[in-house]
Amino acid sequence: MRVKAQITMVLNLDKCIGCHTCSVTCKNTWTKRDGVEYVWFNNVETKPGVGYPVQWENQEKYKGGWEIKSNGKLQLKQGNRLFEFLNIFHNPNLPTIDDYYEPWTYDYEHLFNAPKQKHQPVARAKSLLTGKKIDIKWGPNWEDDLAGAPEHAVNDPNILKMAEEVRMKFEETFFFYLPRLCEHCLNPACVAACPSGALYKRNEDGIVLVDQDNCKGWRYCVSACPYKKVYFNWATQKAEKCTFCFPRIEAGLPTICSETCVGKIRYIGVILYDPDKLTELLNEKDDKKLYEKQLEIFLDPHDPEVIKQAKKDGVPDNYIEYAQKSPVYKLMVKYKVALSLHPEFRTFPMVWYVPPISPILQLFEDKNYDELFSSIDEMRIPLEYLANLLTGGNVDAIKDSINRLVAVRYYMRAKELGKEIDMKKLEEVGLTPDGAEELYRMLAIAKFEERFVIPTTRKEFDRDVYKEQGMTGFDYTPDCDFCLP
Amino acid sequence: MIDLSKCGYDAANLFFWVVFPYIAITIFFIGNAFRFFAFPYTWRTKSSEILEKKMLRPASLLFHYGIIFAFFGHIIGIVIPKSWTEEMGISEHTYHFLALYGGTAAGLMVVAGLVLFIYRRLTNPRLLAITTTMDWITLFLLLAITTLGVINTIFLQYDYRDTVAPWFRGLWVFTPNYTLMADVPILLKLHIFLVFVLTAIFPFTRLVHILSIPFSYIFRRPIVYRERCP
Repeated sequence: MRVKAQITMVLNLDKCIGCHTCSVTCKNTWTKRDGVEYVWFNNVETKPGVGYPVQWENQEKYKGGWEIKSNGKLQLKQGNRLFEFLNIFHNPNLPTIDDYYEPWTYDYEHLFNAPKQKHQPVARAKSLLTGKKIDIKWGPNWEDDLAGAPEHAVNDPNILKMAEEVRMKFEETFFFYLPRLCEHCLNPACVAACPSGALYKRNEDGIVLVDQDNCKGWRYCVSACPYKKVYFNWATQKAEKCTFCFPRIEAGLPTICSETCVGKIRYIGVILYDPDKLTELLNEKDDKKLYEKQLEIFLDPHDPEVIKQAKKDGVPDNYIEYAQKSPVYKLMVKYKVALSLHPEFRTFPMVWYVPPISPILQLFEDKNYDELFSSIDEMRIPLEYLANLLTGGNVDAIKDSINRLVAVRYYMRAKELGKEIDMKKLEEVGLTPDGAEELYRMLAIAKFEERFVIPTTRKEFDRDVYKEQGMTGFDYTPDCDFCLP
Repeated sequence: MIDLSKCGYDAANLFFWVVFPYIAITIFFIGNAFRFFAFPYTWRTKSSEILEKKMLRPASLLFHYGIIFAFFGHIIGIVIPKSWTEEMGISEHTYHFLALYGGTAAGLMVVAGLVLFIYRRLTNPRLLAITTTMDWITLFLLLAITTLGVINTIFLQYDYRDTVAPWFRGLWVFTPNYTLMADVPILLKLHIFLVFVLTAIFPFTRLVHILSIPFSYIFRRPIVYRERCP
């Protein structure tokens, strides 16, 4: 056993209102530059929908993530090292900018400079790639709140995988929001695909970064990432990605997307895991079991053996202490309500999601509590859809998570209203009254310090901080990107 | 001014086949080292695949595989002495046959790739917007060099293995016999001269990515961990 620490995020989809504040603050902080206008390190998608870039979950198209080959070995889906050498001059799996969208601005100046005329002047859309006027045909959040769903959402890979037919009739539709950022995976495909070794996972907190000085622009990280969260800066011709706002994390502050989240849906904390188990767990052939396999890699931060080994492996004391009070550990491992996004991509993603149950409130009003759990099958959001998204198709895991969330609501509602509480309902889902109250507090009223339990990083012993410049992601703007030879 | 011809020197040939190559090679080494260590951020392939990948496929594959093929052809023809290949049992006839057909095929691949590259950049407004002057210079210089190379291979069929090759090898051991170059046909001279022009501007172009072929990728572990400030 070895022990590594990982900074981890959990998002409670039940509370996401789809306001895009996280995306906007992230963009203002990180990607308001030439070449990355089209890049959203954090974006919010309406599900069902094809997403950004279009159909990113369709790995038959993009060949992202890992797969088990016929010889039983885990390999990048896009191909082995020989494939990378032979295709280095043209990567067949690379998305083009049109798979995201052509970035544009508006010709605002025309509003001021237009000559006197009969009609109001109009600010027309202007491409940021060519400067020419364009007709906008697609953009980020084109399908926000199911806009154009009958045409687009039916191509959502999670829907295509479903046995049951999903109708897009207004009365029968469902939707929820999915905020997405880099997963800072335990087995990152982008890192494994980089021919230059420019992408790396930080040893101390597991944040995945691109060494800008080392990146040569071979493009394999972009196609290898199954979440399509490594982007190609078309002006500097280098890869860029979410940095998990590491300068803030090092100072004990949450990422900018989490800090500004209006719905307070995000939790950040430390989790300890055993990297020695990676290969064995990832070799599970059944996609449906991968969620449970990933749970097995996490270590109990209260176990004396784990603490002893963690100290031996150089995990700082404050990381161990914060791992013990980690909100994400509770949501993911202790209560098992948070689930991983597409574990079948075999990267062991580390941004997890509590599934949405909002439309279920209706069930409380209409039905007898005895029917509580059986009604979950009739939830407006099909369980199979959530399973395809969050557990690699494992419907039982989705059910368990939602049952637990529903039981907490049942318990708290009965308690608040002074009704009789059927403890069997809690026992059925493996909760105690204390556990239900803790979960309730975490999901409903947790304050800043309870949601973000982030250890600070000690940098006073770093000898040569200057050496780090350029190694940790984009950190300086040349006067003119196009002037670079 | 000193009249070198009086001392038995051929000034023009001395300049083109000794002085200029050494200037070019010096710029190549110092320039690349300086750029690599002082401006590592600018060291990259400058891929434009994200903006256009359909036409890039034939263009890039033809160009790159062609030029790799041509590179090894030049090694066999220029770097390896005639006596060595003969000792290996490759007769003059076989060598000539391989050089003519192999060289023509590789050269035409490169030319076709370059023409497609240029056409692609001229017709796509997105690419036109990001193409720098240095990109154009590089493209047209490469086109001139390879076109001359193909013409030389097909039409000249000049035996460079007794003149150009020993002179070139002499450059690397600091004994270049430039008199060997005196009677080389002008088109071949132009080909060689432009190659040294390219060598001189190489550190200031996107071509630097050639020096970063990621061989270490074959041997490294899949997941890279880095400790802060090692």
